Parts: sequence; C-alpha cells; structure tokens
Amino acid sequence: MIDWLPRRVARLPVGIHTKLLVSILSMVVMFVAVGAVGLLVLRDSDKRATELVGLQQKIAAYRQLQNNTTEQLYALASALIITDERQLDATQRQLNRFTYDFDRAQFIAGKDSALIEQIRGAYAELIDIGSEIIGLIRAGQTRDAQALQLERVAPLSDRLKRQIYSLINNAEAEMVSSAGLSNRHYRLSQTVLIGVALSSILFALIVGYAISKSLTVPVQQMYERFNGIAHGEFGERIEVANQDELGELARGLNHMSEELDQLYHQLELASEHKSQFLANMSHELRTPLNAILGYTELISDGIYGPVPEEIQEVLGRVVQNGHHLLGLINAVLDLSKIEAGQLVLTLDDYDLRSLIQDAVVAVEPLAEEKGLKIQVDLPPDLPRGLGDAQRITQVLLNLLGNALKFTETGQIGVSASADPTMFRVEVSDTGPGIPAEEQSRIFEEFHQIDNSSTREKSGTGLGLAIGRKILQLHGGEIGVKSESERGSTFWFELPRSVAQQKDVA
Amino acid sequence: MSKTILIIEDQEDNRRILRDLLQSTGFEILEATSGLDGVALAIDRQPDLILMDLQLPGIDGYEATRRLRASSALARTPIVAVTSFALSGDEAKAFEAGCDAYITKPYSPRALLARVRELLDQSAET
Ligand SMILES: [Mg+2]
Repeated sequence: MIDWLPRRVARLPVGIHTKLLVSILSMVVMFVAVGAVGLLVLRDSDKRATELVGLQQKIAAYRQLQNNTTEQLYALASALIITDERQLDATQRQLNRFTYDFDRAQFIAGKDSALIEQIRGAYAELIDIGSEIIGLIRAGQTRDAQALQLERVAPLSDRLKRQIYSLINNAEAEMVSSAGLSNRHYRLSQTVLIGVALSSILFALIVGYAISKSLTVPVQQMYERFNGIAHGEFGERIEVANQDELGELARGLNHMSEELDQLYHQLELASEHKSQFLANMSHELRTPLNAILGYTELISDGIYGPVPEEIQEVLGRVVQNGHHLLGLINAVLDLSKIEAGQLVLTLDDYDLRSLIQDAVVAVEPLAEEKGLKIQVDLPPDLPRGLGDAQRITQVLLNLLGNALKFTETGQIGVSASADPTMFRVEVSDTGPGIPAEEQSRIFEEFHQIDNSSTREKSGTGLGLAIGRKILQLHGGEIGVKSESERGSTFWFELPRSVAQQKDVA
Repeated sequence: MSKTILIIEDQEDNRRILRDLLQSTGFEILEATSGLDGVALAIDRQPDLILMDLQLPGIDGYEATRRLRASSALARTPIVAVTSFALSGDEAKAFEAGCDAYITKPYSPRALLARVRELLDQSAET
C-alpha cells in the first residue's frame, strides 16, 4: 500500500502540472466541505437555541396566567367580604382582563391550544359566575352570592388551577426534552464535523504523500543514474513508472546512457586500435633503422673489409644521426602513448638514492669526455618511494643529459631532499642559462631554444615535455630557475608515495 | 672446435647482420625464419647459443623459447631474446618464458657480440 499508491499515481498518463492542480483542487474541495458542514451544524444549533427561548417565553406566559388567575380568584373572594362599590368595580375589571391573557397564551400555545381552549371555557364560566355573584352582592343578596361562590366557584377554581398547572408542566417537560434533544444533536454534529475534518486531513496527507513520492522516487533514481554515468558506468537502465514529464526525462536518460555506452565502447575500440597501431609503428620504424645502424657498425668495424679514415668519420655521423632518429621515434611514441592515456606507470617500491646514483654513473662517461665533474649531494637517510622507477630514471637521465650537453666548463650538481610527503630533486649546471621568456616554453613539445649555438646540440626537444608528463602522471611537477650566462637549475617534485597514476589531459 | 649459434629471425637484414657479425668472428651459424623451424632445427642440431627474435610469424619467440626449454637437451642452452618491441613488461615476459638475456633493437653489434661471448663463457664453466 505504502508504495502501491505512489506507483499508481506515477502511472497516470497526465502531466505533473495536472496532477498537482487536481490534488490541490481536491484538497480545497475537502476544506470547503468541512466549512459547509460546520456552517450547517451552526445553523442547526441556532435553531435549537431559538426554540428553547420560545419555550421559556411560553412558560413565562403560562406563569403569568397562573398569577392572574390567583389574583382574580382572590379578588372574587374579597368582593364577598368587603362589599363596597369600589371593590366590586375592581373585581369586575379583573374578570374582564382574562380575555387579553388568553389571546396572548393562545398565540404561543402551539400543541397546548386544546388545553387552553378548555381553560378558556372554564374561565368563561368563572366570568359568568363572577358577574352573577357581583350582581347578587350589588342586589344585597350576599347570602345567595356566598352560596353560589361555595357551590360553583370553588370546584371551578380547583379545576382551573389543575389545568394551568398541567399547562406549565407540559411546557416544562417540552423544554427538558427539547434541551436533551439539542444536546444529542450537538454531539452528533460534533462527531460529523470532526469526522469530516479528520478524513480531509487524512486525504490531504495521502494525496500529498502519493504525489510527492511519485515525483521524488524517479528523481532519486535519476540522480543515482547520473552519478553512475559520472563514474563511468554507462549502459545501465532505470525503470521509472511515470508517464509524466519525469517519465520522459527518465526515457531520455536511458537513451543517453545507451548512447554513451555505445560511444564508450567505440572509443575503447579506437583506443585499442591506436595502441596496436603505436606498437606496430614502433616495430616498423625500428626494424629498418636497426638494419641501417647494424650494417653501418659492421662496415665501421671492418667486417666487410678495411675502411679508410675519412669514411670512418662519415660512418660515425651516420650512426650518430641514426641514434638521434631512434631517440625521436621513442620520444614521439612516448608522447603519443601519454596523450592516448596509454602510458601506464609500473608503480613499485624504489630507492631514489640508487636511482640518482645509477643515472649519474650512466652519464659519467660523457662528463669525463667533456672534462666536467658531477657533484652529487644526497642525504644519507633519503627514504624509499613508491612510483615508476624506470620513468623517474628517464627524467633524471634527460635532465643530466641536458645539463652535460649545454655545459662546457664548470660542473653539474645533483641533489635530493624529502619532506613528509614529497621528494625534491635538483639538477644544476654552469651552462649558458635560459632566458626568462624561454623558461615557461621549454617544457612544451618540440621546443628548443631558438639560438644557433644550442641548435647544434642534438636533442629531440621532447625530453622535457615527456618529463613533465611523467611527473604529472605521478602527481608531481617540474620547473627551472635560471639566469642567462649564470647556469640553470632544473628541479622536480613528486609525491613520495604514488598509489595510483593521475589522469593527464 | 667453433661454437654454433642458431639465429631465429624472420627479417632478412637482421638475420644477415647477425650472420655477418658472428661468422666474421668465427662462429658457426644456423638460421631459421620461423619459431617452428627454429625449434626443430635447435632440437636437431643442439646449438651452443640461440638468438631469438620475439616477433615471429606462427608461434612467437616466447612460445618457441618455452618449447625449447621443454626439451631436456636444450634446457640449459643460453637463449638471448632480441626484440624491437620494447614495451614495459616485455622483458619480464621474456625472462619468464626462459630467456637468459634481453637485447632491444637497435643494438650495437659490438655490444651484442660481447654479451654472446659472456654467456658462452658462463655456460662453458658450468
Ligand atoms: Mg621479427
């Protein structure tokens, strides 16, 4: 149930706008209904209250009637005792007032009117007898008047009193029952009102839950899918029941995901092809070069017969240029691999100290040839590192090779240091230095200082660019500080521990 | 008696350079142009050392080396891998297959000759 309803709402083939509008309108209708029921209940209570007030007035009128009756009977009795003319007149007036009282009682009597009619009859009789008694008193026949009083008035007045009592009792009973009814009615109205209000709230909660859930669930699903795509998981689909805008969005997302998956596989394939192409090209280029260099060296070694001195010198140049070409091929290959994201570092434990010492030993013959000294300054406690030792050696050899190439007198210096996270290596020379405007450009591909004296030096112009990439793959960097005619110091820094190679754009 | 060296190499020029180099210094040379021929020739003639190109038609140099090592008569014959396929990991793969040395092209014929002599001396000692 808790999920059924939102799914049901999601499947409705209408837009979000319509769903929200309908749900809000239906809630408004519910609240209007609560209001209407409330008004009905109020009107009903008002009617009941008015009725009760009417009953109270009726009781008051009946009591007035009772009072008047008592007064009249009293006046009639007094007339018999005090027989002066004034008393008789007053009694006569008293008797005549009955008619007015009755008219008023009759007006509010309702279902009591039959009883009132009886009372009126009894009164009419009382008036007749009263008038007769007054007549007898006036005629001086007091004894007859007394007899009449005793014989007729006494029973009549008893009956009258009983009837009026019963009138009042009836009215009072009616009021009690009406109050009880009103009370029960009030409770019923209260229950109905609370019931309608509660069901409106419940309805609003359910509608709100279903609508919001039907919207948030697919949004959450899509959010997760987007995250997946961001992490390279293409091709997966999400199942969204919605037939609204979100459903369309989800279908679009699924479509995009599929397209990305296809594209990714195509790219992967292309990348594999490129990788294979690079490997093949490397092989194809090196094979003839290998033959050229091999034959040349065999000729130079006199295997095919004696070689005159002048030709030896030319053969030396052939070999030198061949090796230069080989260097270029290797460098271009390295760069293509890095750019294709195919230069994979072999991350392993290494000892920076021995990497530097080995690199220095490798270039020492060249230094000796030029009469240069290599000053090595390594702290004895240089810690071990984690990275690609072969590639770090490549950078070291490049920097040392450059330093030796461009330095004619003076010395080369190599130093290293470690802080808690990084290694720093510096290779300094006493060469011609690099002008400030060139310093930022020497790490670009195929850049060599545009100056005839340095152009003579054989170099691919790719070594520093490759070195920079290798350091970037390690999460490190490379740089130079130099002044023209004052020598240069190339430095690089790399994390002591490289657990994973970095992406290089 | 001169030592015999088997050259397994599909590329004509590479084969000739090795042949010219090694013949000129007095070695006897056997040649094969494919892995299968090389293995058959090695088993037949029992050379003192084998120069093995890794990129060969049919079975490659790694597989040829494994097959040579499977033969008890050739289990200790020095095998030198010669390759222009210098990808990282290739060297380890060559040693794993049973090679004793790994030389990448282009090599210096002088350096290769020195390495060959070194290996022959070592195998003569043991
Ligand atoms: Mg080959």
